[in-house]
Amino acid sequence: MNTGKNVNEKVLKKFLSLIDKGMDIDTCLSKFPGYYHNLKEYAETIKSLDNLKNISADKDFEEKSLKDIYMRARTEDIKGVKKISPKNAFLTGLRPAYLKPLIAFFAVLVLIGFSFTGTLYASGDSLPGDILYPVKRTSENIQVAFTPYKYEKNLYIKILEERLGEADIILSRDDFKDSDAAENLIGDIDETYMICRERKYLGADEGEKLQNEITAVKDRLRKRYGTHKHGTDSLNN
Amino acid sequence: MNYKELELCIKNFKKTGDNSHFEKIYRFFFKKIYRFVLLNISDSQAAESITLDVFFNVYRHLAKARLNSGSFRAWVYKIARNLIIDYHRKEAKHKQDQSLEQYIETRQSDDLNELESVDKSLIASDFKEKSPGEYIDSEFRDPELLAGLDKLDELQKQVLILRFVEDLDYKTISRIIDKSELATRAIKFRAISKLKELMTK
Repeated sequence: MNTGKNVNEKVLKKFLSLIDKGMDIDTCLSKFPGYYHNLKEYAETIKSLDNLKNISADKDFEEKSLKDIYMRARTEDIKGVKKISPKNAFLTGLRPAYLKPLIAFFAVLVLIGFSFTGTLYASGDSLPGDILYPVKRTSENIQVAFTPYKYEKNLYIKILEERLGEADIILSRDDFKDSDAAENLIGDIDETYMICRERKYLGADEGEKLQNEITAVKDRLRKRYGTHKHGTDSLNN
Repeated sequence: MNYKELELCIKNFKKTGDNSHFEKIYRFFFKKIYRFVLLNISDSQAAESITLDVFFNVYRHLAKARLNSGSFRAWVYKIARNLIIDYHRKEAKHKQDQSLEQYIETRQSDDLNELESVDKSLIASDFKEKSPGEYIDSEFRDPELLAGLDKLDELQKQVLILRFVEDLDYKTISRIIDKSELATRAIKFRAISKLKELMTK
């Protein structure tokens, strides 16, 4: 048996891992006959560490220490645990690990809800070409999608009035220069009016009055922004 | 008591606050924690005081802690480790203050001979405190091993004690010392190599 070989890191790691797995130290040594002498020194070190397990505290101290703990707890008014009344047991049972994430989740949900509502509210007064205008249009489209067919009439008329209102505001403002937005607005007005007419949402008088209003608004817009004639103009006839 | 019973005791103590359950937990850990503290601070009186503090902290915080038997073990040893670190910190500060005071006194008297004697006395007192094994019953005393352990750095010493004396697995040790399992294994490897060298010198 070669006992003179210097133990290398790999062998030592293997030896220690066998001990970690719970194998008896002497059995571990026998697995590495070529390194027996060197590994024996490690084995002796580990055995002497193992011997430290016999250190124990004084029994009197163990008893006294326990009494001291209870006394300190009484002095500092620490109750081991509050006894749970059956009434509170249900709530206490609900309190564990998932309560905090749940609260955090709802807090985030409320925060998102508030910011979304805020954005929606702010977009209410937006005009074509504004950053929030697409939000306003999307919310209208969602409203249309979720409104039952028999109530769509009021909604479409409301949207059409909203578009005409936007056109009025644009025309009353001197600083509005976005001709593309004005052209899109004409397109939207035509499109909404066409839906209202096709579905017969407008009465004869109301339709005529609205049509005149639309034509006037469109003319004023075209005059100011020089927009092209829209394809849906044929509907006026 | 096995770990399943320990888990039941923890659960029952948290549920009812009955001290008999705490007593079982206390008896299960007392010897282990005392041994761990004693080997780390080499002063039996301080070890007793720290052990008492460890269990008082366990008693105080167990109701609120969310632990199973595995993490509970790590938690108890971690409390002990933190108190050991505090103790070493206080000791180091105390020694520093003491030596500074004496140094100032000697400077004031402007007597170099006195300074030398103070330094020597400090070294002597340090040596006296560090003499291995005085704090352990003679039948288990292995001066070479204890001197070797004292020469390791704190973390290496703790890992060796936790692994080979307390028989804890790497997962628990890594929780106690706030390192990864891989790092814990590496620390143990370096520690055992160094300890063997120190003991065979």
